[in-house]
Amino acid sequence: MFLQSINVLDVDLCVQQPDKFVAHTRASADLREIMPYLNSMFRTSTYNHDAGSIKFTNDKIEYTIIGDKINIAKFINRTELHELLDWLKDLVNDTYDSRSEIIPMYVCRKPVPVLFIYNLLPKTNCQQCGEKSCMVFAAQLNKLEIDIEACPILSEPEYTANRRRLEGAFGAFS
Amino acid sequence: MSIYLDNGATSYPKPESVYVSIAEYMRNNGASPGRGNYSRAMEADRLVYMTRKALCKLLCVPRPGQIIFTCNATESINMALKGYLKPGDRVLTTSYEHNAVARPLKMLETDREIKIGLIPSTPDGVSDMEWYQQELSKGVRLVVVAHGSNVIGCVTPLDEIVSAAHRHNTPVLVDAAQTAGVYPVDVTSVPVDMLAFTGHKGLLGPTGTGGLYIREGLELSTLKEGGTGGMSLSPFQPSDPPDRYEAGTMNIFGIAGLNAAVQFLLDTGVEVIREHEIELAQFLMDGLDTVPGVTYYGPSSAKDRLGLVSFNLEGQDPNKVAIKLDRDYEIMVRAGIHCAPQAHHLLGTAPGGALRVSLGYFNQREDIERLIDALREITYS
Ligand SMILES: Cc1ncc(COP(=O)(O)O)c(C=O)c1O
Ligand code: SF4
Repeated sequence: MFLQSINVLDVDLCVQQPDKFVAHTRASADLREIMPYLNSMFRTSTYNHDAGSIKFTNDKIEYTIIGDKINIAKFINRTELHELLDWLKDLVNDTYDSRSEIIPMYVCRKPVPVLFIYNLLPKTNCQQCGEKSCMVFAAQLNKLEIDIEACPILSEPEYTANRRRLEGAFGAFS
Repeated sequence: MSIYLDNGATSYPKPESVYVSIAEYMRNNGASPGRGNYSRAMEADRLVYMTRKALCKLLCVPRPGQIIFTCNATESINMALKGYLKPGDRVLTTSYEHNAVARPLKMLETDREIKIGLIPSTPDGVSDMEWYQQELSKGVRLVVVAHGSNVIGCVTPLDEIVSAAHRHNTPVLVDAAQTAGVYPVDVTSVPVDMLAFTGHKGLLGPTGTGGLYIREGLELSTLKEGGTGGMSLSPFQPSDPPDRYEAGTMNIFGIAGLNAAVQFLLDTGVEVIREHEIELAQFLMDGLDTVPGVTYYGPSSAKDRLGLVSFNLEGQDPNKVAIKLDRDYEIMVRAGIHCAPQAHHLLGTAPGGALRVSLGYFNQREDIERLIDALREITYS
């Protein structure tokens, strides 16, 4: 097994969302080798090949990996943290095992301009995404801190074309 | 050598790994989970999580956070009933519940004016499903059933109970104190809403451990509030499970033992344990048939019952027989009402009760042979 374990070093309150937690953990292996593969799997990843670091978001949880250090942010309690660690360990090992099938991506995606995103949004400011307005959603998406799926209006048939363009801009399944 | 036949009260012995795990944890870790940022506290956290995960595998629970640790089934049942029932609610329950269910319900009958309906049942523990379905259609807020009776040994057909209740959007709480670990429990294929279990019986763990499974989307009001380790600045209890329901330092030594016990069950296989208990229970019933004046209660085939058999000897006080078995033969069985008076009313054995032999994975045929020989001697003396 490529990654045997991930050990939690400490758990603290999340600065951005004080009702959530962050954890610093250490992996039993250096993860640099699989970062280009993870990078090609996550639409929301920010990858720095030279620094050996990658950041991505999945299910509203933020992961930052630098070498063998993994920071996980925005989980609700320690039970969830351990579930996430299990998930991440499986993901890393599955990715490692199938790396010959995955095309690695060594460059970081360019940020998509906020206004470009904003112009494709429904502009209802309905807040169903949990953000104050479509503009805030656009800014969050630009920073890869929210998922396109978080806006339910974009899933309605009349927004199919806009949604496809957005996904295309983020390099996803277009 | 003494023979222990009271596994329905608490199992003995435990797997060797249980003793080792508790001692190991006490000596070499000793930290409190969820509290502290040093490595041993993190290991304690991991141990608690791994125990939840092992229980998820055993009981087919989708996510570890849906397992709430308690100190026994009684606490779990109280948590479920008192956290869910509201004034005036109607509850349906079986006619063979343990006091862990019957007494909290009785208390709520006074405190919250809930109405309790007992599903009529035969002495073999077969519930009247027609009556049950009719009552459900009149509006019932909760159904509470023992998965297995600790007196009759019958097993409740959960699939029928649950599907009928769900047709009326009524959730079901199951008391799995007598079944978890010795009988298949699968909350995914039979989607019960809450399931209470205790760690020290069929699960083979230490006393002081237990839990409540709560299905996703069901929220109970809390029985207790207090420290959970995280979010300490907030004046309120965290809203997400399991922390929502787990105030106070947990029984981590017990959980260390429970973790090893559940691992033992997963390695051994509940089906293997069940097979062993069926074989022993049939051997026991066949043996009892050869003792003059024995009446045993519940289903006549071992396949339809748990590995426990209650019986009486004609003209003998069950308590006195139990004392004689212990003193003269070093055989431990339980006599009396077994904390389940309703079941004894159903059997017609109240107020004296009955003798109960409850088997465990570590019992052997020889134990039963010695019991049967002893009972024969007692009846002839
Ligand atoms: C059917 C049943 N329910 C509940 C309980 C209570 O278990 P505990 O004492 O571990 O809370 C028992 C055990 O005696 C039992 O047999
Ligand atoms: S849900 Fe979509 S439409 Fe509504 S505010 Fe958020 S981004 Fe705008």
